[in-house]
Amino acid sequence: MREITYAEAINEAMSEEMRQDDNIIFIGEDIGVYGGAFGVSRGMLEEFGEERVRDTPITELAITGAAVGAALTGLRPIAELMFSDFMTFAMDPLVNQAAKSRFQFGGQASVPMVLRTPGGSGTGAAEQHSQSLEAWVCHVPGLKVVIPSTPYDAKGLLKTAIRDNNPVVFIEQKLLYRTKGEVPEQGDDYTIPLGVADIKRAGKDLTIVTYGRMVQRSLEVAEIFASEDVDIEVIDIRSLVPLDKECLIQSAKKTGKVVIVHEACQTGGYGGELSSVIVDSEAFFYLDAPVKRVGGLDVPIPYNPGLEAQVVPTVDSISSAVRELL
Amino acid sequence: MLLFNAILSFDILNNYRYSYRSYGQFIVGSAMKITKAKHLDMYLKMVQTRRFEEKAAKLFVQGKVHGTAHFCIGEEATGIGVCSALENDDYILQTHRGHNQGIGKNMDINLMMAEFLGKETGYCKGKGGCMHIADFSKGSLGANGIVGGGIPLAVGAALSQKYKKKDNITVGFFGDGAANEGAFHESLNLASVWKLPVLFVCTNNYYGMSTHLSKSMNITDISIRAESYGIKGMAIDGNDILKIYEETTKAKKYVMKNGPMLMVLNTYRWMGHSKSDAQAYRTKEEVDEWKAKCPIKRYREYLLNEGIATENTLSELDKQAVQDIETAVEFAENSPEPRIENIFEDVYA
Amino acid sequence: MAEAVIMPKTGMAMEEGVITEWLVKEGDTVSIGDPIVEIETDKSSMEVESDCDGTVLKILYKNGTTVPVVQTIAWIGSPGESIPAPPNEIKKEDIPAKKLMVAEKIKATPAARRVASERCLPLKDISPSGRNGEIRVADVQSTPLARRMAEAEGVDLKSVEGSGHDGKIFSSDLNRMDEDTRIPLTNIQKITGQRMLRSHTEIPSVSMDTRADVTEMLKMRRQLNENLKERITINDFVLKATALALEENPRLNSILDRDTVVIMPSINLSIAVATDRGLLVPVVKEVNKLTLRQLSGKTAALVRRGREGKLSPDDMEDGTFTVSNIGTFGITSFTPIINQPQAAILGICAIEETLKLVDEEVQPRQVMSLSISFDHRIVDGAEASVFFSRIKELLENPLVILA
Repeated sequence: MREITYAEAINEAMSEEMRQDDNIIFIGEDIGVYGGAFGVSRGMLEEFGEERVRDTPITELAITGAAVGAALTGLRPIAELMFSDFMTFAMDPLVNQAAKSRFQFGGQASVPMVLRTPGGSGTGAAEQHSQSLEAWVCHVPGLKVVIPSTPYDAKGLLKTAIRDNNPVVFIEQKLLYRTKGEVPEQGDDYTIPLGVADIKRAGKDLTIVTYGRMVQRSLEVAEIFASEDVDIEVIDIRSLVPLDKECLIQSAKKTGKVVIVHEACQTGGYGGELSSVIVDSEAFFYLDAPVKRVGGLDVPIPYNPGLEAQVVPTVDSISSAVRELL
Repeated sequence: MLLFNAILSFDILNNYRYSYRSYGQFIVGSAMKITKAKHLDMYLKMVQTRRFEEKAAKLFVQGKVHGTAHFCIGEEATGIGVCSALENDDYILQTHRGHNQGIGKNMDINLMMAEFLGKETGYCKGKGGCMHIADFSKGSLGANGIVGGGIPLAVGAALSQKYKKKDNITVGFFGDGAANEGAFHESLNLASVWKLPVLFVCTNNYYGMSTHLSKSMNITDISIRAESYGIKGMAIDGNDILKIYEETTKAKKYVMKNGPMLMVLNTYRWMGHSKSDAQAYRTKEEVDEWKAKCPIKRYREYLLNEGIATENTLSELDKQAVQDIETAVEFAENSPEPRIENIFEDVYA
Repeated sequence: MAEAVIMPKTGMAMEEGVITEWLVKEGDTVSIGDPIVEIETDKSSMEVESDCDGTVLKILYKNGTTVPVVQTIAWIGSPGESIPAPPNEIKKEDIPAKKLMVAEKIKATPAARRVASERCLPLKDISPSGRNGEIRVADVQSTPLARRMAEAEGVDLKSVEGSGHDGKIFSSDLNRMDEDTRIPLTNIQKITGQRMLRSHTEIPSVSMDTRADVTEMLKMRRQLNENLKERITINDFVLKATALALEENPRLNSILDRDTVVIMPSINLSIAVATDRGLLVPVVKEVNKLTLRQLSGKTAALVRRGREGKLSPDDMEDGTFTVSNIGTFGITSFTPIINQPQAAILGICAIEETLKLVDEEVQPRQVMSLSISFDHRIVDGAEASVFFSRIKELLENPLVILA
């Protein structure tokens, strides 16, 4: 094992797959010469050339639409949207075309594309460059949605996403790009299947269900409570669609207390779905407290760094929620 | 060459006016060698399209075709003319109205009709309907219910073809209304900078649903927009099937070498936008004026006058078209409905 | 054949259209393409053209009528042609009104409810410790006092054996045992005790005894059990006899609401069942409407559920009269305590072999002793006697029980 960053892990996943399969091309803004706005694709233009690593104009709709068209006709494109907030421009090709083609055409088509895009706040980029919009795409049958929290998960999941014959929205976390983690040696062609959650910390007194940037924060909370003899289980769902429902249900059954944590605004956030999955299952009869959600505040992300840090779940706010259930 | 350009500019000048003078004859004579078989094939397809649309319209008011339906009666030459100049491996992205495009690309009329009736045997297993027919085996990457939705997809398909060094192009069909969508502009731009082999074909029938071209754009010659992207653009008579066929044949060669091109086909739709359209936005006189320029009637006259086909042959083809549609309706009506048990099929691959 | 003119469906969402004006009348000749009627849809007005040549034979709806799409509105054909009869109207189905469900009003978490139900502990008797006043699972598993003491003494509750039913931990379990053996009452014992005290002090209860010759009944029972797959018990016979007697003497199937005797509409018998958790009293509903076989099935199921700890709240409610059987212990008479707010309670005692004079011969007969206690505010001795002796009569003439 060696330590690499989340960004490097993503680079490795893409590069390894592109070396093995000539049908994979990569398109996006400033991904080639510039190496990606967050440096994720450094070196890829040099290795794969202009035909396969294509810088585009600022044209999110056409980037996504072209990826769909290419995917319909034999290629396996990776399209990058520089900020997931720009998904708004890509909605028609993503939702009305990519997600629908197979079903709409009676199985004649498939759309094996990956739309990679970073989400989340914390960089001071403010309202229009800091959102977490995963709930939108989780609500479209035909799309798959993945949000990794570690370099290990990012690499394994991205490889699977690229090999998947469906459109996968791969939402990275901008504040995690520099974090490091252990990843197997190069040449180890490991993949992580979609639809499998990861119990990042096993416990028996309370379950925290979370994903993305909040995984690390939840683990911090778990450590704090460990010293108070409360053993918290932290589940990183990793894959929002398809979702590992069984893992959540069994954990809720075991501990009887559940807190759901995500950075995205609470109202209409994916946490509602997670809560329902738990409550509408056999786990209900083992719940000894209401299922709590700690989501971002229902506000746009503000510029001021103090405010920015407080509008998403903090160690304190997560700890309060945990205490309420104990 | 000069003559060719003169004809081109003549076309462009005419497009500034939205009431058309009728053309008596096709301007370009048989500069192209077209075999008799090809002529008859195109003629048959046009008549099949017209009968198909009429029948579908009838089935719609009987409640058998569900939802909404858009008919291309009057525009047959556009889809048939373009697609007749393409090969099987050339891709097309159809419009919601483009049943002529599908028929032109040799799609199976029985499967089309079954899809219109929502049956399991239809092209999309009854799940797509008239706006979403597709036949990937014939190069049709599907009809799109979103105005302009197919244009970026055409760019992507052309990207595939160029990447794999194929000797084929992609034709992205869309209407005058779509020319104002962001997708149109982004797609022409991207295709032009990447020099992709895509032929953008705009069927200009002068109305985006109920809004006349002159209210939607200051410069009503859509072909001029090509200049903004540094690509070639042309506008031709969309009711002149031979002209369309010839220009498409030339365009394909051009596009494969030089990158994208924009072709605007000026035509008219006889029926309302969809079946619920009472057509308050245009006069009966305008409709009648265009009906007089019926592309099928003109082609018929041409074929007879040039001695390419006899009245007998054409009548036989007319009858065959009627029969083909009847067969399709029978097939469709006798086909089973899709079952809810299979509803999750094809949501994911 | 005549051609139908239909109300055309011109739009996705169109369900009906209005006939604005007929442009032709019956008897007119029309050709293909002639406009024949003007209609109005939700979006616009339009003319409908004729699809065929012919004469307008019949116009079915007049101007201004709203007609559903695809429905025939006129017929065109050759004069004198017959036209089909109009289709029947499709009625909308009645949507049955949903029954309202009344929620349980005690605040308890799902886990607490589950454990309480498993242990047959009524929630209303458990002290809640949740911050919102809710009963939590720990409250069912141990008392708050026990928990506080355990925390103070640093004892892990999981290591303490609870003396309550199913291991509920009480504070006393944490103490050492002194010279006296102190056994605190379990929850069920406490509750039962309180109710017995109330019944005993509030109700002027009178007891009576009688004996019934059940020889024929036992013979009949043996016969039935040899030929049926169900096992009909002696208790089942007595229950059925009781139900019949209650039908004839409804005042015994009532409750006292201050100054009013409220006669209950159903005859639901509470049957006392001894389990290792204690005495449970589940209810068999509408016994008078059940056959002996059906009754037998229900009582067997209730007893089984009671022993397995799987009785539901529904099983325990709405009893109108109680029957308690201690005959197996050889008891010949007792004074059962009335199950408030019922009017009376029947006690089944032992069956003894007795010598009796039958047709001037001394014969061994099986005789069952029965005891009844009744609330003298609701019924007097005479009424109770009539009822009681009727039961005896039915038990001595068991064919009537089967009728």
